[in-house]
Amino acid sequence: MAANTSCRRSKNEVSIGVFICHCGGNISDTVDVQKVKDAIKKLECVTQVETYEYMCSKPGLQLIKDAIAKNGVNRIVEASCSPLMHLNTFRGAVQEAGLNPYLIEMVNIREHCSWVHKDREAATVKATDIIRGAVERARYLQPLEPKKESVDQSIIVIGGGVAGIFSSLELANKGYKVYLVDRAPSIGGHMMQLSKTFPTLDCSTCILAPRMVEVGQHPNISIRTLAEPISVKGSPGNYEVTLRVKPRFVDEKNCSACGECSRVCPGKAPNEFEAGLYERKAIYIPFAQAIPSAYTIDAENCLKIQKGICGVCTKKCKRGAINLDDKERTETLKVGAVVVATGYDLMDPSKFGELGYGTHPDIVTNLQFERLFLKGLVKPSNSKVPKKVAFVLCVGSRSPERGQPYCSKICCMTGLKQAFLFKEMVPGAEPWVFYTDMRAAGKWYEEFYERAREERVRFVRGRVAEVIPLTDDSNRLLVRAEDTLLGAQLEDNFDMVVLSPAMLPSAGTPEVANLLGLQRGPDGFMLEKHYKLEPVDSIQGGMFICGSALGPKDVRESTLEAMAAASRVTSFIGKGETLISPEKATLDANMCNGCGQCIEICPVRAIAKGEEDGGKVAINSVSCVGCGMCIPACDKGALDLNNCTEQQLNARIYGISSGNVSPKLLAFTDRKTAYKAADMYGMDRRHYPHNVLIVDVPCAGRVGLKHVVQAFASGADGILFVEGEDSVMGMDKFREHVNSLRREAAKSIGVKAARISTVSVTLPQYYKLDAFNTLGERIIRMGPLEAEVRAKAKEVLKQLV
Amino acid sequence: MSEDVNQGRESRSAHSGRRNVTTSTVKRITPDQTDANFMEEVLKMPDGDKIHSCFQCGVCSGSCPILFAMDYTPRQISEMIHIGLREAVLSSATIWLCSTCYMCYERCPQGVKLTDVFNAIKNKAVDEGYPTPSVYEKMSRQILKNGFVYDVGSMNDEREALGLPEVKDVKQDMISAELKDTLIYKLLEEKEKKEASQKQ
Amino acid sequence: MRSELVTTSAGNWNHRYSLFIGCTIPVRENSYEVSARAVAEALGIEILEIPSQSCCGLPFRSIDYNAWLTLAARNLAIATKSNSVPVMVLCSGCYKSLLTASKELEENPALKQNVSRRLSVEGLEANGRIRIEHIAQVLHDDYGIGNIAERVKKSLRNLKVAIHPGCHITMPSKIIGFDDPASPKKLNELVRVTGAQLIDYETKRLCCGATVVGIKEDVSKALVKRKIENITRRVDALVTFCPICHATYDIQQLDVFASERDKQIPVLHYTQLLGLAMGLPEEKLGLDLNRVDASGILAKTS
Repeated sequence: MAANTSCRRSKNEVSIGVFICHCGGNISDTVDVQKVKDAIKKLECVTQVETYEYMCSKPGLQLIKDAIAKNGVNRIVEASCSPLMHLNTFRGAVQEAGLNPYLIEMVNIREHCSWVHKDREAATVKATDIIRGAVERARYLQPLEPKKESVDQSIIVIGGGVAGIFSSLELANKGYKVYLVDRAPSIGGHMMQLSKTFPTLDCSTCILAPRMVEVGQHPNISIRTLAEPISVKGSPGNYEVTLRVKPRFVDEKNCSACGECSRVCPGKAPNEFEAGLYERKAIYIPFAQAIPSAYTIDAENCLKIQKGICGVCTKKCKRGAINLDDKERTETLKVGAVVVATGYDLMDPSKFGELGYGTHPDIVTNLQFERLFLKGLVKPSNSKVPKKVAFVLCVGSRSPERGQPYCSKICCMTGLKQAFLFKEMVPGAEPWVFYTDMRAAGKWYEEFYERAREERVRFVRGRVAEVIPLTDDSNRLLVRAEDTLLGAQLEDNFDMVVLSPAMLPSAGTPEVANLLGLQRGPDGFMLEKHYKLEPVDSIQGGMFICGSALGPKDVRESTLEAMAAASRVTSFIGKGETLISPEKATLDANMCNGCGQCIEICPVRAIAKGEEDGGKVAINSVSCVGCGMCIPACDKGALDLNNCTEQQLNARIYGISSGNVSPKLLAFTDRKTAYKAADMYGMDRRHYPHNVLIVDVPCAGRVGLKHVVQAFASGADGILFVEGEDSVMGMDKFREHVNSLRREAAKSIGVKAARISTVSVTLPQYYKLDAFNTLGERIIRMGPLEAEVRAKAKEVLKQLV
Repeated sequence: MSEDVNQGRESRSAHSGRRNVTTSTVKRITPDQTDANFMEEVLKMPDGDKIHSCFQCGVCSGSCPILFAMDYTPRQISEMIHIGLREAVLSSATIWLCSTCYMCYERCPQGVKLTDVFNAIKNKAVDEGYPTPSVYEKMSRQILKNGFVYDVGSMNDEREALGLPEVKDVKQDMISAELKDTLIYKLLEEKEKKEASQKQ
Repeated sequence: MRSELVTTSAGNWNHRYSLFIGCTIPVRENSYEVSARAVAEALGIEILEIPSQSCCGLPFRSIDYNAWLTLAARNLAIATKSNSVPVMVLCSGCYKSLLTASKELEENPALKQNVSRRLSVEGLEANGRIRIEHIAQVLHDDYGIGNIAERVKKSLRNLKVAIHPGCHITMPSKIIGFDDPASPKKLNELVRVTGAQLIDYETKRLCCGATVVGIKEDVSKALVKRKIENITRRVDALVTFCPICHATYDIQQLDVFASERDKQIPVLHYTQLLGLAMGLPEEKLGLDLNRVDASGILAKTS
């Protein structure tokens, strides 16, 4: 059976227990688990094979524990859902039974098998091959121990809106040091722009401002405004975040916010806080309750800074707080954890030209309408009070074709709130709400909808097709929609039209995500680690996300998530110690000749020339990210990777390739993103040919010529590298690496270039794995590997080992 | 579709003088009236592939310049496709009154290509012998006879007087051959059959 | 989207287009072609003929998708065979028909094969790789507003006009991609460059309803009434970019406003308006063919 005898170990040392999950039918409806069990039973070193409905349940885990405690099983293979789901659960069970948690190998026969294939027979054969690969690998599993590292007890919170403020307060009140960073001159975010919050109609400023003051005065919170992160280094528990802090030109401590400077300032710019409705001066305070309570100069519109003239403000300031020579600076903060609360922006509704935004001053956004409320609610065009106002919902939301596919969640309630307040404020007011569906699912929301109807807010079920400014003297706006409940086209004239633009992730979200190594979902918002079970964690250890950075939501949900994130931070930081994964590169110093090739190739600079040892290298296991790129780079075989050792990887390749699927395409998939994308593909129940077999590796760089030859020698007929675009390798190095493998493989065993291919993928674009269909079918068309190539591979393999 | 399209069903109230508008009604739909396969059929028609995405927002109807004269609003036709009122859709006045302005297609948030869905349904109506507006019969005869939908050749004198080149070398026999096996012929056959049976 | 050989100084043009006229122009709107040719000649745009052209096929899309595509593809094939220059269309309906056909042929090889089979009887092959441009596009995108401005001899500043953009020249925008349907800035610029004052109005985006004329005439009349009543007495002319729109407004107004002649508004083809601004003689612009009397405009433009 085994073509490569060096892969086998003595039977006395290794006793493998294999556990195959039915997953309540999710697996067993497609894969014949009994047949798989029968096939796996026959493998060497396998002493026990079980199948069970739900392996992750208590009785399921008990099966594993019993196998270890009572049957002397000392290696576990768990074949079920994606390890990204429950690997830690199973490792916990193994550990409870007294076995090292790294002695379990978990393979995916659900997202990568039963969910993506229809043919029962083919899926069963494939599942068998996948498990065979796992069993071969299991022989070589080694116990590993994580290392303890101290964890910095401070946190940086990026984003000072309601989510950032509340997570900061929670953490600071627990005694941690918090740096609260915002790129605006003041914290507060969009919530400070709101008049009242639904459905309780609290005054937004009144509930937030005291908290802002609390933040400003809290001994444990340091605020950095006009600041953005520009680099992030380190590892979970020990991050170094460098901020770029723009000059304020005003001394925060000295400024008394008297406003004298602003009165005489000639410079003008659109007022961001007023959502562009009015202008502000070049020296300004965004709003009266700003924290820090200090003015700022907008350098681009300051005449002194731009043209060297004016400077009148400096003369007016009685405290000498203005410093026009202020410069940008950088500051590096050492923190243990990061909270991302970067919030949202509203889409520009000009994109929907037929709604007329920008063609008439009385067509405004709902955020602008909030600001108008607080200024006596008069029309921008002529400062008269409007009587009849149309609230147009769904502008850019629920529009996969022309805008965003998602629902922005808050616009229905905002529309109701504004209609209600308008009715209260203006005698004889006639609010009309044009909606597609009235979404009032939160606590007390439906009751608020009823109150709106009690206040005689009118409703038309129909998405507005056009808003047309009338060209007569009335200065009014024509709104046209179908009243779908009547089946008739409805046209009416209004004094004002309030549009509800879609919520978008705030500008700069992609940059922050890239900087921190976070992922974004298909909707562009930040992606949580697990949708249901880890909703404020991120893919990076020690980094958490909350608020509308994750997706559209209201203030209440933002606060909830902020507090949840704070809680998660303390769980992470809590004891001041963290465990560093043992899955790092290791060096056999005896084999090292100091050539330094590994130093060159390491993407995180975790390898350096040691001082002693005659030029041999040394690995920093904290910085090491376990990508494995260094291993094939070492000609002497001095490097290896814990939990993806040479023996383990070769055994897995051998096991999976020597199976019965034919012709087979081995897909080396990076563990960070590509594997997750393949999971998402399976979760979506998309299909691909069953001859595509996924082998997870830390990244494509872990795979060298030896493994390629091993694969072809053992029975593979094609190789595919699937790499996330956020790979630590970078896409250029990725392509370079695979190209060179192709060349070397062609040279040494004569395999055709078309049998080795690549796909790059991002999580939002997991559907790019449609390539599994094209490439899987290509290998089927090309047929099994040519006999002479297979023979050559076997020959060459003997020399490489 | 009857030739008498009910235009808006308008009347004036004797009391206030305000215009009354009533809307079309389908009071009761029973299983024998619906064909669950109709939407699948439409999905396979050219440009019909997004009809399932319609979520009845009504932007199409809100944008339609002809709605006032239709028996069903454009959105209602989509709903009728969804629930399978095949005969009502194929015999509606709405599909023939569509001015193909493409406003609904342009603004649909779900990417339903409604104008072309209507076109495909009209094709189906022709194919199955549903009544069609007589103007299409005239145009069909003309295209086979002289390659245009009007008798263009008769205008050559005016063109000459204006210094414009003659319209000539119209290859109507080629065009007729190229249009073989299209529904143009079928439409003309249907009309002839109808006329023949009316004469009897 | 520019044609080859772009220069920025007028008078040094080397632009050549073949001309597709469709059905409506020769039968009802020769004035459009007359004025278009006059403007083209004055601007140095060379027009080549497409022999044996036929109906663009658009009306037949309602009867049979294949009939439409075959007719459209036939014209594309003839155009390709006779010249290798872009096709200029005057009619927005023909523009949409030919442009859409060209894209469908190139995106769907099986479809292209089927159509080629039909056309083979004439020795033609279906081909979508040919550029189709509306004359507005030729003037705005290829020739350039700046260069047109240089050719305007008589600014029409005493003339108030409203644009009827029409539908097929911009929609569906994902396929046509010429101008913004919600706010057609390019068409506005083309009119403004003549010096005429552009008046905005509520029913600007309203379809002319031409398709419905043959099916239920009073529907079309209702649309004409709405459009014209919105601009009557506010403008001196309505400017169109399509012969079918022009015919609808020009002809139907005589009926709709038979007893309210003072409400009637002259309807100008864009090329007539531009021709006036370029100082071309009225005889060359076919103004006497306009049914709603356009002679009043001449007074305002001299």
